[in-house]
Amino acid sequence: MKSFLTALLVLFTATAYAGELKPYSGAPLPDFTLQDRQGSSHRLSQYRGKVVMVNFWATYCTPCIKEMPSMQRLKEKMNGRDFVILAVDMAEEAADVVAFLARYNIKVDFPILFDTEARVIEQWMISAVPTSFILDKRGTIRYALYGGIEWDRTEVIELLDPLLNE
Amino acid sequence: MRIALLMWLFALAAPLHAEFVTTTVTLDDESDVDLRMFPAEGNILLLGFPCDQGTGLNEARASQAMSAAGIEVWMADLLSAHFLARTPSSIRSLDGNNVRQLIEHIAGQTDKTIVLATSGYGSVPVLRGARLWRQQRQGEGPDPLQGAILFYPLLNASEPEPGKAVEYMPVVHDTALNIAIFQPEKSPNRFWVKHLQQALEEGGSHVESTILKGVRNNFYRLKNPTAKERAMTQQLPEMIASAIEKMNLKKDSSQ
Repeated sequence: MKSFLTALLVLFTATAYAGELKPYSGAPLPDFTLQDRQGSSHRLSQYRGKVVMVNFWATYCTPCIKEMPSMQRLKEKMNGRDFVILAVDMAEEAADVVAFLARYNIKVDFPILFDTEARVIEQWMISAVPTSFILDKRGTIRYALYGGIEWDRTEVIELLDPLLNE
Repeated sequence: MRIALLMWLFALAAPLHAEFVTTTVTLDDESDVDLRMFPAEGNILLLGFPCDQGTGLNEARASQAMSAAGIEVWMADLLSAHFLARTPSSIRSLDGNNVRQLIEHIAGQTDKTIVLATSGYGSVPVLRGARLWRQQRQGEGPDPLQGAILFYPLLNASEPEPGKAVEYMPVVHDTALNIAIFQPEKSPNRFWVKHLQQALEEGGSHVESTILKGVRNNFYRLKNPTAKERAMTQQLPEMIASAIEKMNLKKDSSQ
């Protein structure tokens, strides 16, 4: 009887997390330079003049894997506009990440960057995964979110549009 | 040498059928806490709060192996006692009084040294209970409670906020215990272990932390464990015994 009541409570109290982009209230965060799968370096500040989405993710994070195709769709919807996605893997081995993407047939053409030493993770104080930041064309962090969402939703694009038009 | 002997004893322990006795303890709030007890002759008693509603087979297997190696284990089911679901908010809502009363109950029955064990959000009521117990005793006589083993402790004071450092619940800064932290590598918590360790030590605890390579939080309860996670689950009894060994427990009133 006790187990049955507990199971009922689980059913009624379990809720799916649905995050949303919120205005960023933290301090400015430092510039970084990280390498991608091909060994090319990406310095965050080199993207001044573009709206940048910095997404921290890991292969063990189910919401990260779920949201990644929607990030690719967002990139495609933003084709021709000043918009960039940088997906920073959280201190996993590059070879493992590449193998993971191939195994699960995750096809994205935005840069996957490797923070192998976890320096950026520490500097940006990442405590949950996924965590995403939206930077305006001046490099100022305007919005942030922890948790996974569908990035190609109309609400997200309506929020990005003013930043792209600044 | 002692660790080698323990490992040999673990290897001898039957892996499948956890032998235990169950009992129910009625607490001050009239809640009934079910206890699974894995008896042993040794002088250490591990009081576990698995928050698994009595279903954690791997925890039971590890308990049996530890029991066979001389560490007595009692597993308490606090959630079912209060008809609570296994959700972060329900576990965090436990004020620690039940933990304190269980420590009191055990201390009244045996003179064994008590070490607490839990995981995730269970760390909140366990540390609260330890603090309440210490407050109740006011340093009188040898303290049977000597330590706590925390698997991937989740002690954040609030939801994560991007770009802001983690802040911990007040109990982190106010509990002086021997604490062993086991933090799986495949978790964002791993980047904050030293931060948590520092906060606990500022409160007077002595902390040893270990990163568990290649496994996720909750690895021993996952439905789809990897080979590394299955292997790590098999090592649970040795890991816990080794952590207790390193605590160099002394039953005195100095803490």
